[in-house]
Amino acid sequence: MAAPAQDPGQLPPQIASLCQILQSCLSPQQQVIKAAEEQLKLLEKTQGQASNLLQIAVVDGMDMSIRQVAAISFKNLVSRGWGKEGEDGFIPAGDKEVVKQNVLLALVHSPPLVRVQVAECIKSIIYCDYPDKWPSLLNEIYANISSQEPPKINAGLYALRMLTRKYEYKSEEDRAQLYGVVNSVFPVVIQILQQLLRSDHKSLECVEMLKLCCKIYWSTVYLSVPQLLMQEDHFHAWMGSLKVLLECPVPADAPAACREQWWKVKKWVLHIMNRLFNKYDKRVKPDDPMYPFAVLFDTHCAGQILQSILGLLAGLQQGQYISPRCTNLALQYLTHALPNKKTYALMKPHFQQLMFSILFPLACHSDEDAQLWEEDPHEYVRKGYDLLEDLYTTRSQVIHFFIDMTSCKTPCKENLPPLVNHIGSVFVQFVGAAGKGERNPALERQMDGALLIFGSLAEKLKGTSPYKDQVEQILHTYVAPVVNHPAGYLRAKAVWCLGMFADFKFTQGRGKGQTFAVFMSSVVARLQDPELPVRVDASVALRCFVESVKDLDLLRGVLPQLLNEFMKLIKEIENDDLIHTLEAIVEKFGDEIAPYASTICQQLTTSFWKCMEGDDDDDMGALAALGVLRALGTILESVSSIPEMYTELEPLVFPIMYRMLSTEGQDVFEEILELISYFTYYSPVISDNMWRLWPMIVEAVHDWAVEYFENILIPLDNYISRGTQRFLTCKQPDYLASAYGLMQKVFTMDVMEEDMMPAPQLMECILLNCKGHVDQYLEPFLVLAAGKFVKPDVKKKVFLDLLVQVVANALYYNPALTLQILHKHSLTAGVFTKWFEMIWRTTKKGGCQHFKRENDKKICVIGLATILQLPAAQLPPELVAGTGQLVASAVKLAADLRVLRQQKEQTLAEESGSSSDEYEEVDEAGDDDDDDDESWKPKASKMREQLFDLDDGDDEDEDDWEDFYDYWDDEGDQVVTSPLDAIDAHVYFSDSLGAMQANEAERFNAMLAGMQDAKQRQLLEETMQYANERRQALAQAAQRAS
Amino acid sequence: MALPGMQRQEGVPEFKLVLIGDGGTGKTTFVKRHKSGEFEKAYEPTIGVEVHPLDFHTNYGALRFYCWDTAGQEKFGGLREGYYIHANCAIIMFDVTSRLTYKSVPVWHRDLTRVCENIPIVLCGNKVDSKNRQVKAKHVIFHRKKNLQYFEISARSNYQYEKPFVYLARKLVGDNSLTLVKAPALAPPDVVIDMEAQAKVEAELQQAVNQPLPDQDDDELLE
Repeated sequence: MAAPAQDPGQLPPQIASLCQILQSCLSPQQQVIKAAEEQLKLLEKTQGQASNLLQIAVVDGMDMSIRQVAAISFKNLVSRGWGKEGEDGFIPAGDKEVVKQNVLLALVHSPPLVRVQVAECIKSIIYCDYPDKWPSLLNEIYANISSQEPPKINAGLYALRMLTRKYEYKSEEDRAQLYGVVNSVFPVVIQILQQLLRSDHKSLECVEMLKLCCKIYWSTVYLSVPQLLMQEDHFHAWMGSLKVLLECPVPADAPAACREQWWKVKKWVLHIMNRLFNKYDKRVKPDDPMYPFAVLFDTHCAGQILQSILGLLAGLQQGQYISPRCTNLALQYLTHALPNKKTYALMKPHFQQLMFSILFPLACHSDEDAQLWEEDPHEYVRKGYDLLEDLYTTRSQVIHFFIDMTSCKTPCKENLPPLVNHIGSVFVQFVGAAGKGERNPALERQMDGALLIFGSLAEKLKGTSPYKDQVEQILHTYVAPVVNHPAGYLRAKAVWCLGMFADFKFTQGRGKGQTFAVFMSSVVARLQDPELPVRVDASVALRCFVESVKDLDLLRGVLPQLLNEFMKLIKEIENDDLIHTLEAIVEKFGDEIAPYASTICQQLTTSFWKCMEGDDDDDMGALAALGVLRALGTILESVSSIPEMYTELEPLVFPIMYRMLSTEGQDVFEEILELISYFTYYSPVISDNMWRLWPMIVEAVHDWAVEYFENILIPLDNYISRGTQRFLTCKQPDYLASAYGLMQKVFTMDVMEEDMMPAPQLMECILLNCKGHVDQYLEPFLVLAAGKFVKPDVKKKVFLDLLVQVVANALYYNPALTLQILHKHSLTAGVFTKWFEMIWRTTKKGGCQHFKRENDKKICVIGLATILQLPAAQLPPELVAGTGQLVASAVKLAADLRVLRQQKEQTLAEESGSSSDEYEEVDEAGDDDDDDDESWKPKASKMREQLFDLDDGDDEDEDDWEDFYDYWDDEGDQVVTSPLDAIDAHVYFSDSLGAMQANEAERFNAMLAGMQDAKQRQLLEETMQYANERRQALAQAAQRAS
Repeated sequence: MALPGMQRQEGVPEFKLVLIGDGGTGKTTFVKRHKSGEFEKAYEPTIGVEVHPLDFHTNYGALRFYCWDTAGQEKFGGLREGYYIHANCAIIMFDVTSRLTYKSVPVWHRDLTRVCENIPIVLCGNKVDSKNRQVKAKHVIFHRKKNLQYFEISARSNYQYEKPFVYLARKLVGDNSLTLVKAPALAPPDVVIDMEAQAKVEAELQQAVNQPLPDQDDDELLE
């Protein structure tokens, strides 16, 4: 390719014909265009196409439209055919070379209309080719930016910006290339920046280049600062220039586009400074390679920039314009400066001015808020509860600043008193004016800001003297009356503020007494406010009251209206905070909610469908849909004592469960299964409709939800245990076959062991619940489970436990048949050897490695004991010989089980021994955050955890297991039942041994004689004795019960 | 106006109008409402471009927009911005029932103005007859930043169909008093729009025009 300027009259034929095609692309006639597009498409992959298009784009004297269409086609071709990093596209390599040799030149020489299109391509080419396939780029950039010609400098900076951006997020080992770039071109870049700063008249072009310089620096230092830029001269040159950019006024007489660019320059400077200030502080230790930079920044920059920022923000006080984004970033810098002694010291003299003249006004209701409130209350609500919005608003940054301030020792000590005084003086003025019946809009807006800050500092004020002693009085005198103020936004702010203090310990106590009651009822009254945002804020604030309330009578009287207002609100807006409050109410009232349950469910299901209709990208809708399902779960849980309610509610919820078991419900599958669990567990009988869901559940796991296999166990367990008859007898569909099919598929599929674990659990459930009725499945189950068990490749201990427990269950189900099947498949020796070995294997600390749960031990004891009931004649020879070993293993497990149980009883006794006063004391200490991660989980998931949650855990770390036992043994919450509950393992073992002694005394005695180890004999005796104690205790309990 | 190769009717001014916006926002439907075509409910993506002559009768006499209905979906893009060259005016369309299509408006506008630096542009929010509107009139602020005209339209109900054309014609002719002397022949409406509700929306919009613009840093989205 020759020089860019060429006489269009002397074009080579290939290019001339391409020009013809491009000309046709400009035809007004569709057929002509289509034909031209076809021709372009054909040429796409030919040698020279990309470079020819680029060449046409830069030919001076060529018709401008043709140059333009060439540039656009070039851009389209590059984006489709160049390729990605490490992956070549279809454009021939030779052609790419020609393009790379000329593309920067094209950027310099083409008019804006062409340039914008070419610039688009440079980024993709650099990302793909630099450095290996475009080694000359750096020299080209250098030549351009050293040229003193603005168009070349601009083009060079643009390419450099794209180059540095490629490395912005690259890890250290990939950044070596960047350091070379920095060393060769940054000395020039800083000169350009300084030169630009010196020029008197700053044109739009000039400001754009300044912005490019900032963005180049940003990308370069984002992850770490290159060596060159740590050198003092470079450091000072850059920081000095950036500081000038931050401080220099935006020329008022410049055109709007230019001023806009200026604010963007400042925004980038602030981005850079926030990044450096956050990253290079005291946490950088002397052995860190970045330490020298951190010292430089701390010594020469952090404080100086702080001063510049304070100067910038002072402009707000004089009514100057500062772009909101810049205000937000400036406030972020100040917030970060608080915990730093040095920067705080610099801020200190200005602190009062900062708080009262700059930050406080930003916290107040603004013209913009007023307008939104007036014109679009829905949007006002949405904006207020939008998390993303919260990240960018100036006001939320102001609040962050104040909250962070109160968590820094010295800043808090020095500034909280004047801040609270200031708020207090606004409160006093406001009440004074209101007392005279005057409306003062300016004062009202200040009151809004004062309430916002006061409420935001609630956590601090509630626990800090002297404020904590004044809070109640302040709320009474100044905040509560505002709940009835004529200005809607003040009513909303006041209810919100009361909510922030709802959990405060008032003189008459926390969650009770007159003050609490008065505040709560004033919030409840606002649920009927004429203005929507007030109603929403009131309902959200109410949640704080409901969660704190100790005296339910305070709410009981208004419950019907309360729920009524709620339903109306939920109908009006989708907001998951509303749903949370509803959940809180339902949880508090438990089955008292029953009379309203149907109405609430109806409304919730309507909301659900509304959310589902929403747009795909509408996260709020999806979140709300999830919230609705959780709330439905909460309601179903709360009416668990009234089974008839489920019959009433099922038709309302059924359509949701039905539809969401498809792939459409992927995101809510767990929640749906929980709803199904409630209906199958609590309703008087499992309805026909609910049975219709079984095949869909199994189908879903087959198709796409194999990782949810565990989650479906609860509902399947309910179907099997509560609908055993139907489960066994129905042939259309054949539920039993479908369950087996699922397990078989999971075992044969190449899935992780975790995903297979539910299969043995499901077998256990079937064997226990259908004892005597599933003989035909005993063999297939054992082939799957025992066959897997003896394989050496099974890794997870818990999985091994579960597999062999299928054998234990099978033995309990039918020992003779089980042993026969094991024998038939030559599994007997393998299974029992491995099983016994597992029973005896201990951890380093001496705990058991396998069968850790109470239930694991129990089923193993029972399974082994069942064998003892069989006459020796029915046993395979391996087992007859191993009777002693079998008994010893069972005794070991039984002894462990006894210890476990005794520990549990002890813990329980200790717990019930602790007085309720102690609880209160803990409460007083402010340790209120008992809403740990578990608390939101509905009972169905607790059920699941009790039944199935098998954390393999680290063997050496038994704490996890202890946590687990706490859960498992929480008797008050024992929802999971099993047919084995009626059987005591020790009694069962002792009975089996007794049966053996009675039937085959000789064998029994031989077994005893074979027990050489004195310790083992002692254990056996203890076990038998314990079994007797258990037997007596159980008999007594049974007597008492009858 | 003289475009190379364009068939001219004697004395009738002709303008090239490009119609752009995300796929599925109703560009093709909109064009086909004009008597030449009929409303197609089933969505078929446009491939590349389709050019439709649309005639309007004004107090200045007849005028014709050659409406370049471009593909919204990237994979059917053809020349893409190549179609914008020589455009005299443009309509950027989004769908008020899909926030995503509104979020793309800045990209369409940027691509357009890179090719056509100073042409009158109308922003159209389509499907305002729909019940599940997601982009409210309030949310639509882009046109105010970039000096475009905004219209709420509903291709299905013919609501405000002629507004974008009249606005563009006024700008192109340079006379704000230009009016239509004859309503364009349109396919009969498929739905009847709730005029009362829409009047409220329009009133809100009118109020919004006088408000200061929030600062939006679009260069964080657009490089």
